Amino acid sequence: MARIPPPSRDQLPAEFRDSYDQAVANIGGQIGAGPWPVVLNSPELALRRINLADYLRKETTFPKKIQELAILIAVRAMDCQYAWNAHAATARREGLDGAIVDAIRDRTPMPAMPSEEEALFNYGNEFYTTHKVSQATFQKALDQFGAQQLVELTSLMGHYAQTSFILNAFGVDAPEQRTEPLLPV
Amino acid sequence: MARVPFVSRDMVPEEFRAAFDEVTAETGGSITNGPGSITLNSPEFARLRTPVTSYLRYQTTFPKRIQELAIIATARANDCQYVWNAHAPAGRREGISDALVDAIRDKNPLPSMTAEESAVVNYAQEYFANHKVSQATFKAALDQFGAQYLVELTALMGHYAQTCFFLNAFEVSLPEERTEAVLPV
Repeated sequence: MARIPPPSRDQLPAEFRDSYDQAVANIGGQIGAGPWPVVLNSPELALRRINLADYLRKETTFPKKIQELAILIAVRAMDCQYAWNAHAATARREGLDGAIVDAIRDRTPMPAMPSEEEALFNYGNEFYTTHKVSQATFQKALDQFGAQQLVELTSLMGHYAQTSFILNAFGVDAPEQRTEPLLPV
Repeated sequence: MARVPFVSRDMVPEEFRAAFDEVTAETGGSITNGPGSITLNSPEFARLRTPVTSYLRYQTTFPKRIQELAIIATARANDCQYVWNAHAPAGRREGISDALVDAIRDKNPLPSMTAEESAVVNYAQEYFANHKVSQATFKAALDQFGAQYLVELTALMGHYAQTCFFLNAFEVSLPEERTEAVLPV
């Protein structure tokens, strides 16, 4: 149970009810678990954020495996159990090598990776470790992905870091039924 | 100048030109400074991010002083000179004491603050330092702001952390004319 309940539609100010209804429709009609029951406490923000998240997750054209790797880098950096549990499993299904997933989780030396994955991992990990990115690492990432996709991957990591902040601060824990080990924190 | 060139309309693929035009409408068809100059590399992402930014900055109704405090705490935690330089003066103008702005910048012990200020500063600093927020700190923030505003403040900090990632990774330069000391990093 999170530290606050999901909003009750009836108790929302009248001016937010349309946004609430549209936001809930856009996430599939169920508020479910995870960040949305928390974010829906600000229905207008939730609606605008869902549209943005949908673009990053559904309309960008880099491979799903790369998308899931970006998410894992961000949620590991933010120690977010809920998002890790959800996305480590997805990343494995999308074909990300289990040895890579496990090394990110345990912060052990990374195994050999295809150049695309290595470029992304180094880029995200450098930023989250030092808050900057060396010219060599930036250039490799830019060469691999180009400016548009590198902006989108940066956004995706930032988006999931924001999600992690929401989940961790509001105490949304990983579900009881898990297939993934917890992050060592 | 940043690590990637400014985006001009002719660089943008046909399917993204309408988004490019919408995003640059207010600035004469280009964006040549700040985070917008980077996010424009993905025009559709930029188009969908704008409503989130405008909600969190201009349509939400929590006090501007608290908003600026959340932003500078985030800029400091992410070592982002650009956001710091833009928002420390805004924070001072909104009535955050110089002693508080300077202590955040220099990571010194914080001076006495109003209950509202200490609630948001403690919440931000705990999260960025530990990736979690103690029950007491969470409760103090929830009591001050309520669920809707606390969700919005959390999202605002996550949003600016994403902005810091863009600005630092793409090395967007600080303006020449500055009134603020740089962050000690």
